[in-house]
Amino acid sequence: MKILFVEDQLSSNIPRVIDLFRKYLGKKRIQILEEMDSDDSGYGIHPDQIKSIIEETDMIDVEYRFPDALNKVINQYNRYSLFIIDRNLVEAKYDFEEVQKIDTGYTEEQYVKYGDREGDYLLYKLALLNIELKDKFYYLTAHSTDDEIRGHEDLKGLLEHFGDFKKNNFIEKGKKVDINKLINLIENHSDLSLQYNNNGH
Amino acid sequence: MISLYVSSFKGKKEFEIDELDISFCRFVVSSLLPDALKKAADPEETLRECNRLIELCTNHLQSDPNNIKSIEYRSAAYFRTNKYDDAMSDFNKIADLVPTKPYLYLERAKYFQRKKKFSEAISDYSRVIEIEPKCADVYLERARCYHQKIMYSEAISDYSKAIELNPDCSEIYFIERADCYAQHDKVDEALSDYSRSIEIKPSSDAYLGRGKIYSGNDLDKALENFTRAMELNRDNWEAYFLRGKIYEVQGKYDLAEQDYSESIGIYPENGNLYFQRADLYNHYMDKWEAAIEDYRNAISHHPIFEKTWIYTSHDAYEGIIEATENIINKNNAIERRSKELQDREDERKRVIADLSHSIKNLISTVIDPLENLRQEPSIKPQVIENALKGANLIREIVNAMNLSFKGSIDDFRYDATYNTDAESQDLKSILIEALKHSVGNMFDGKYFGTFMREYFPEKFLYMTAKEEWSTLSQSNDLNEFLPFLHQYFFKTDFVLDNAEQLIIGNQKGSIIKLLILWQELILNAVKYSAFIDKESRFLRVHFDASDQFVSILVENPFDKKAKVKTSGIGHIIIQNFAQLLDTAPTTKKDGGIYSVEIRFANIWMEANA
Repeated sequence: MKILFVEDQLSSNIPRVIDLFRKYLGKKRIQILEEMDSDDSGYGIHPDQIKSIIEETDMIDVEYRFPDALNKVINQYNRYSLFIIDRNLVEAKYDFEEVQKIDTGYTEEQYVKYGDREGDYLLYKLALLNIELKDKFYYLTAHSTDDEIRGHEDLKGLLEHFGDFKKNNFIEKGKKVDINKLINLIENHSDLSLQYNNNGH
Repeated sequence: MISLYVSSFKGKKEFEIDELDISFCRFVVSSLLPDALKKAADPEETLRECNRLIELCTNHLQSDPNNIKSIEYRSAAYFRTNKYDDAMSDFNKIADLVPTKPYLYLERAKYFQRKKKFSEAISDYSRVIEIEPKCADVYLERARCYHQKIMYSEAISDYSKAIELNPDCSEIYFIERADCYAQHDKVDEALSDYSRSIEIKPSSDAYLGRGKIYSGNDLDKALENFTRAMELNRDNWEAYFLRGKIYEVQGKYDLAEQDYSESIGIYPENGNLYFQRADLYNHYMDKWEAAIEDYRNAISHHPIFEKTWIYTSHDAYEGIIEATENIINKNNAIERRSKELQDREDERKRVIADLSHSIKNLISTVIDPLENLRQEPSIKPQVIENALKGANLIREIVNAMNLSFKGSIDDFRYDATYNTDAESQDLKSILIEALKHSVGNMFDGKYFGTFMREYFPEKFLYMTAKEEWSTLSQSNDLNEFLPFLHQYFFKTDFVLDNAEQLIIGNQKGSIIKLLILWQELILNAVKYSAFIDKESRFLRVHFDASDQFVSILVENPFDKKAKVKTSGIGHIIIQNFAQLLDTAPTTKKDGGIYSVEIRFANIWMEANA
């Protein structure tokens, strides 16, 4: 079992990646990622390079584009114990047609509706699969849990379905308490720990 | 007038005066003496004397049915008690026997006058005048009848005769003649009579009349006279009413309302008063519920309302409809206002949410490296550099957002006027600065990597361009950049010459505001051009200035299929800055080209004017 980590701005979020997955990355990969983040050429690191380093762990799958993340959610959802999803995935370019190729039921209306909050569509698809998400799905968001969340009306049904989802499953970026809670979940998750140990660590 | 009555027993010896004569005298005195003393007659006393006289005469006539004196006296008493048929029966019995006594014509004339049969009254008064042409009071009564029949010339003539015959007459004569003059549009004569009347004895009616005359040309004098009229008679509803109308004309609506209310308090049966106050409420005080109530009162008192006013109950119904529409409009306006406030509140929340979202996103790029650094044994300068870059971006965003809410076009006007100090810049330089900033961002792979990689798929290309840019960006000469932009970014179509002529100061922060606004416009164009294949990319920046307007148009091609970020604060900053310039951005998406135009008043022309 793995973690699906979806973040559209990987290049500028290397320190957070290290923070979240320190246990599974190990010292060597952390060093490589830190070197990437320290690149002073200005060109930045291509997200694929970062993705590749993280996925070497065989514990975490990384996607930075919405269509690729959707593909994983639809076709490989049962491989993940944790979904850690950045709610807004618009920074990495995508278009309607490539999403529809993956999800034929995806409509123009949904393309507009879920723009800037593509993570909600991922949650919506998982909910349709009737998976127990309460302890599996975590949003990374810049919004505080006290804020009125964008598209709340659309999301209301989903949130109510999962109980106190907003309070428990919204992780505020930059809020140490929330990030530590998520790190604790990642590092102590039983399925993941088992997988980690089976991998020979 | 008494002389007309007493002539029947004038010159008689004491023994010749019988109880009928005495009773007749009491009958005459009971009504005429109060008149002479300018007091109201006591109707009960008059009636008592009349009945006594009628009884006596009837008793006499039982024993002496042809007693002419009894018939004459009783006829007079019958007229006085409004028993016209009985009076006329007696009147006719003796008509062929003796000449009719003038007082009988007089009593009949008065009867007709009371019954508002003015023509008949005038006829009888005229007979009395034929018999007794020197009696001032008869002229006065006939004048009143003419007055009622709106025969002003005749009325004025009789009033004048009455005054001539009685030079010591009361102020009433002058007031009534003045009223007549006023209605006959003889303003000077009316004023003179009112003033004369006031000299004789100040009265509420005279001041009221004079106030009405002044209402046409001297509102202050009119107010003075109406006020005096009220002081002399607190029940003079018309004085309150007319003073209220003047206050209404003067826009002193509270005072007008107060006076109308006083007049209604004195005379609550008068529908006109309600109508006037209703109009005041409806048209000037926005008290539409109160207006409707008053219009309803006006309608319910419509007998007076219709007889004495040019307005009708139909007008009152129209007033109700108008007031109701006003209430509906007001409610709609309140609703609209409330929605506007709600929208503004929502917009504010959204702006704050977007701003906090952007900042928090960036904050993590500061906090995370520093957190990680804490766990490192050695300090890595690049990590600190990254954190500082994130912090500077936060500062820029907050600064831009903060400035976009501050000031107004007056600040730009000020800086367009005071534009000769060392800090002042021409608009072309600011545009070039904005362009350099936008292009420079495309060398920041960390924060603009998505776009940068479209321009520079290879690191080598990027490094070469970056090195060139580091030299070129020191220059402010647009011509020096153009080959570079064409080689690495896009074709350009810049029309900026007019911008060089317009200089702006920065005492009110206009340079930094324009710079941020144009940076946002051009950066968006540079970012979204990146998704187009290289040959089709272009950036168009057209600046234009006419006598009235200054405009800047930014155009770029865009990938119609690609999802574009719609949240974020860039568009808010553009909208806010445009708003500071008293305008709004015009955006178009046409044929794969995205364009934004900001057109605002030529504040430089205004400054020169």
